[in-house]
Amino acid sequence: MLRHFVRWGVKPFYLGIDWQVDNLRMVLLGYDTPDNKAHKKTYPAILGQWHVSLTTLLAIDSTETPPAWQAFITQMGKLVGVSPVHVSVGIPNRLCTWLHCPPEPLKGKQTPDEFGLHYQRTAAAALNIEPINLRVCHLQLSSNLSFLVVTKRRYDDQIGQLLTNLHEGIEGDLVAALQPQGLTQVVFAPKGADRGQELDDKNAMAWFMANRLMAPSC
Amino acid sequence: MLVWYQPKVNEVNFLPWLEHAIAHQRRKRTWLYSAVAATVLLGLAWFGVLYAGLQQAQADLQQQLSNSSVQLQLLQRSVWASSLERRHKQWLQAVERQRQFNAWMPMAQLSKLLMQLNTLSGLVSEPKLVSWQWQPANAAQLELQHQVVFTIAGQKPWQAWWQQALKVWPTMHMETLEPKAVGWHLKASYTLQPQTISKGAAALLIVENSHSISSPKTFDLQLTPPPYDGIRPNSVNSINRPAMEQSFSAMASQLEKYGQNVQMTRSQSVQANLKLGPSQWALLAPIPSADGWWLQGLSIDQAPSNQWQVSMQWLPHNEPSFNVVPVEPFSEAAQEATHTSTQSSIKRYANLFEVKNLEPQSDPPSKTSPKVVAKAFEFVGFSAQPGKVWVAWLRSLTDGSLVQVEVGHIVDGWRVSSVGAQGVSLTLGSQQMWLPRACLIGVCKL
Repeated sequence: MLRHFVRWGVKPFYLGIDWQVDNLRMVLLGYDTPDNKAHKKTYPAILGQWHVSLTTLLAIDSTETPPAWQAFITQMGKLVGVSPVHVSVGIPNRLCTWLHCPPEPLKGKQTPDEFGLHYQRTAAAALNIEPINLRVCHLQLSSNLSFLVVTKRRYDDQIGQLLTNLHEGIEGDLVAALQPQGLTQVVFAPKGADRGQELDDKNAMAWFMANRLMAPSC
Repeated sequence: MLVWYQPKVNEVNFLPWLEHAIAHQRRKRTWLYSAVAATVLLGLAWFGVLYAGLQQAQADLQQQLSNSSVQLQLLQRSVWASSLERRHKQWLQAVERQRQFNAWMPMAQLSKLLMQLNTLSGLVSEPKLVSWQWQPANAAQLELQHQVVFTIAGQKPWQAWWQQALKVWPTMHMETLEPKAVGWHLKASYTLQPQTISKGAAALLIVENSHSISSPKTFDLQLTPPPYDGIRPNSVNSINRPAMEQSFSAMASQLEKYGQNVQMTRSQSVQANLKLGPSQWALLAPIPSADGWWLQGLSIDQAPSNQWQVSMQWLPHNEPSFNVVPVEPFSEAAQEATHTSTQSSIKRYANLFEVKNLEPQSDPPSKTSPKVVAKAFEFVGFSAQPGKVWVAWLRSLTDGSLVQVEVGHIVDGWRVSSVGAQGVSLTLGSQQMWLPRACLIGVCKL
């Protein structure tokens, strides 16, 4: 209980992961660093950038942590300590399917779980895939325009296993989300010495995924 | 803790946040149910423990009360037992006082009557006693009330004496007033009204006098021990034949003071007939008495030979009588003064009787002659059941009605003195009559 109270005052770290074709690029953002006290709570600083080949990760049995991923976890553990880490993983748009969701009359009072099952069956019927192999999210863009964003379950299983290994390697809590990179086209990465490390251009999407966690969505 | 981010509206998260949320809700619900069940179980257990504690406390309290009650009873019994001898002595004293009082009371009443007769002393024509009877007023309640029936004879106008007598006995009423050849005969009776006290009240008097136990009225426990029967010499459940014989012999020895002219018969009752001269009239007081015997009747008839024909009858009595006039704790001097005045009043009347010439009683007392009663009733049956009083049935020859009689009952003025299988003995003063059974076997046909 005392540990939970102590963690209330601890600022979280934000980890953005960009799933590119065969690579995973990671950027860690944070406010509280031992050597950058002046910029505390002002701008997030880039605390680390990593690049791991996805093929090496997926080639190994899921029961073991890949060595490359274990090295990344070790470095992360040293940086974040007991602080919580918020993770945002962006998958390429090509791994997602957007389905137009026709509005259907509601029958009685339905719970969000029932809505989720309904959307999953609808997407499975549209894609002719078993519902259990799909992950479906519903987006209501306007009153008459809604979409079902669908991906296959094996993608989130792979990412989920990696995040589970990451959670086991650090001391703090882990809050993770897996979402499509969406319609992001231009990323302006911050420049300057006061922003921590210099951001590699290839890690711009990973930085964006981490940074979107820090700012409230519009 | 690993948590999949729960997306808000129009946000996407492909990680299994929904399963995670459902599992989290399930865990939370399970924990909630478990907490509620544990709370209920703890509450039930607490109530159970509390109830068991209350039951235990109640049982302990009842046990303490029971122990206290037992100790109190033991203490009470010890106190009660320690005072047994003193209470026995007090009881015997009370019984003796009662017996003495009963022995003197008929004579006291007789002396009062004689004193009233002496108020016109010196006159030749003063009222004279013809007969005097002491008998129970009600046949059903032999011990409760007594009645005095007397007959006097005089020559002077009777109104003055009657007015004086009414002041002494306000309840007295005249039964017959007959003119005779010389003077008149007046028969009157009055009933003694005793204050009835029960045996239990009498026993409580002794208890209260002993001051051995003070029972608080507000406490609900039974503090008075059960009635103690052991101190009663002649209780109902312990009829002591040797004691009865001893008391009978004591009464017989008291009868010896009247000389050798005492005819004493004993059946179910004790009958004594004797004749006393004027010099012996004062010896009549006190009446012989003994424990276990109750004076059921006493009659005095004036014989023509200047003698009193006295007839006494006693019935066996199992318990000391407390139903007569209660005996006040008189001092010895007061009792002695009462006894002396009683005897002196009788002596004075006897002296006056001796000095004047008593006119011979030309008319005998108007009693039913034995022949009349023998013609009026017939003995037809007899019943003796264990534990009950022997009864006999007499049939009235005049109207055919059946009369059930016991020893002590009065039939046409005759007192039943004994009841047996062979007949019934009737007594009227000094006269006796025997009604034999009319048939030889079984119950006589009506």
